[in-house]
Amino acid sequence: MTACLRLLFFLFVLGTSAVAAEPAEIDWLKLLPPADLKAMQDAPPVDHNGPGAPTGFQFSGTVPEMDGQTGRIAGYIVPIETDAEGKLSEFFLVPYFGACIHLPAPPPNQIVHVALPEPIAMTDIYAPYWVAGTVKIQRHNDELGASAYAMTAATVARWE
Amino acid sequence: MNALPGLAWRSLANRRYSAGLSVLTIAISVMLLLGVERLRHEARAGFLRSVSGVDLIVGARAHPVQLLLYSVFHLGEATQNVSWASYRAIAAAPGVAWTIPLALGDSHRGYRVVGTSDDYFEHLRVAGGQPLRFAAGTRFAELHDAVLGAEVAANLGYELGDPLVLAHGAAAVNLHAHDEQPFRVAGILARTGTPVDRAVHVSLGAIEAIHRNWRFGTRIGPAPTRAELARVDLTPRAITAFHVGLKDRAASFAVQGRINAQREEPLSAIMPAVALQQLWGLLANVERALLATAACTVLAGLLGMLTAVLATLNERRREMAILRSVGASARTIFALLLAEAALLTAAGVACGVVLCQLLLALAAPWLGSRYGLILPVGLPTPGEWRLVALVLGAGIAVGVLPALLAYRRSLAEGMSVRT
Amino acid sequence: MPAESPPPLLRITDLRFAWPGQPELLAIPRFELQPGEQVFLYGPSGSGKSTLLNLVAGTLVARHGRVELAGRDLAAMAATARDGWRADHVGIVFQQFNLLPFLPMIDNVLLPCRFSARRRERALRRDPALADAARRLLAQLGLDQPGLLQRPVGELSVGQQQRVAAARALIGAPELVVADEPTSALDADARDDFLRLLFAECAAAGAALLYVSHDLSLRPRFSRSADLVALNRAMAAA
Repeated sequence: MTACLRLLFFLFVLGTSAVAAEPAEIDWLKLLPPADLKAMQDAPPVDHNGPGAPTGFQFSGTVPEMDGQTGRIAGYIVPIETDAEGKLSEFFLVPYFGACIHLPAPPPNQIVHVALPEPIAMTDIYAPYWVAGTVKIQRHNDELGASAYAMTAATVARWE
Repeated sequence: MNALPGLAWRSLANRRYSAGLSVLTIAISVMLLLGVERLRHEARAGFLRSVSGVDLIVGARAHPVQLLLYSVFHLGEATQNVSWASYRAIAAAPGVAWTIPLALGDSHRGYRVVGTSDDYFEHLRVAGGQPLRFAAGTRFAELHDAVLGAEVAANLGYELGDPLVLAHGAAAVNLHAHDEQPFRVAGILARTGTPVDRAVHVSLGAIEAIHRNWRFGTRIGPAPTRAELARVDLTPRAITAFHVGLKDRAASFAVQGRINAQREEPLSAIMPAVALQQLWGLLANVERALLATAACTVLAGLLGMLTAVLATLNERRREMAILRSVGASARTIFALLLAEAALLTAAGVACGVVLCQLLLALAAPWLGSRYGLILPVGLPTPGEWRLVALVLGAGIAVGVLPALLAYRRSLAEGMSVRT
Repeated sequence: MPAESPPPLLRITDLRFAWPGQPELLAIPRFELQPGEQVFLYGPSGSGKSTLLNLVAGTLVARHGRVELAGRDLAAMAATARDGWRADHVGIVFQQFNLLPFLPMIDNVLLPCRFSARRRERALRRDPALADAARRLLAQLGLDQPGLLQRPVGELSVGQQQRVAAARALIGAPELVVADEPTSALDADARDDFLRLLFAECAAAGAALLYVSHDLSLRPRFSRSADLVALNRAMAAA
């Protein structure tokens, strides 16, 4: 009798944890091809002194295995487009804060372009968010240095 | 208890002056609360409506919020201009689909003059992708043609073909008018609910033309003749700022970075949506302070009502005794006083909503022309209804105190009024 | 077999009451009131008469003893039920300030009908509408001058106000009318008029009258009188 109850309890816990499981976390570095990753690790530290904006890396290579992967990435939201009511409909997800303001832009393969199926209330540019969805690789003209990755069917949640 | 509303209403009507004052206090505080909330909401929505489909805005090096304010909202001035050469270089860069040049600095009877090209009417979008539409007329055809925003035409009573004279500088009343070269209304745009409505649009060449005999803000020498203007090259030497639309939106970061990093001329490229969020970040504390102040006035109003009701409680002990004697329970007494508080609050809130609409209707034109804020007058938004519900709830909560006091006293005293 | 006598309208048995923290105010072993009886209860100030009236009406409850009104023990009822019972069976006239200033005269008279369906029904038995019942009662009490009904109650003389109060107590023919010094604020003529009318209307409605007063000169007009001081053992003990 008690063994039966214990089995039921175990199955219950298993079931609820499966239902409540978060999508797998995708590390930003996973989006970098190995060569780019090495170059970034070998690079000298950024010079914050001197005139002019610091230049960033211009990697745009992509990792083919990431295409179609579902998961969630933590990052900062840079809004691009709002709808008629001021709700956010399109944005870039970047790994660090200030990418659009005073730091150099991240390399294209460290930027995720997201167009939301449903506009959401405007997010805080100063706060980190989890964006979950399916990663897609976009074919771009590399000369422009456009973002290489996009995410479809995305949902946005505050980073806790 | 179907006797209650009637009794509560009559009881208040009997004390109509004190009740009226309570209602007025609550009404004024609710008016303030709703006004602030409407301002907050609409200002934000209005600002967000104004820019759509623009990937970057480029101007002389400046804080992103400043650049946004003068290029989109015509608030404030640029400290420097962008050279024509830099503009053309960026416009010709790979990946740039279109640009809209802007030359600011002149005004017409308080409204800003925007020197621009046909790209403005071609590519500018507002409010989530709406293109500009003409209510009357067409784009610039002649050199001295002007296209008016909807509000300029409506407020100043202009129609197609009417003449207008531009003034140098942004002051409403100006000593320096370009009166030797009058303009003609060639087109009037349909209403957009954005700063476009409050602008007078002319061609870049026209801006050059009217400044040919002006240096450092004053007139020098005679005005150029029509023949002279036809001969001369009217390409501007500099513009104030320009909008950029990219072939691939995803390249925004890269292009922005390149423009900001180039050494030829100090320029700033901003992403408009981000600059807007920065603006709101700056204003957030002001918003919060305003809302908190308004909430405090509501609290003061409700406490005023509480004082008024408590003050009358003593006089009404005989009333309570009479009601008890005819069979009202102590609970009925409680409900009666609560109903009075609810009626007072409800009346105050209703008056407050009406007063708020009146206030907005009065202030809207001034806010529009002075601060670029477009406040539609209309029924409260869902957010405002929520505030109304909160105030009602607070009023009832406040009313519980005297109701409870009356209840307990009624239980203790019964029908005898101990003086 | 002797016929069973009808139960008393009001029966007080071994009633004891004290205000919290105070010495015992009332100790009444027995008091009864029959239906239709008109009783003068002598009660000087300080004798606990207000407290007794509250107990009779059910606005106060004694922890010791029984107060049975129209067949029910008031202490055994829940508060709301007691209030309803009071509305159904009792009409009360105070010494002064009987009327709600924010209601017109007719509405003041009809107050008990708002709280008692029974009184409402009984009032409608004789008249087609409540307002008619009120007007008739007021006329019987001498308040039928043209234009009087529209006057705000605050403008009435004390005598007129007391009569309106009597009408309110009598609308819907309750079984018991309790009058607490109703004439002490009136001059002698007004007092006589009032008493005459009150007796007549109570008799017409079949209502018992419990008239509490310290004015002994009124006692001869009543068929029965009682002395609260004598009834109240607590007074004797003090």
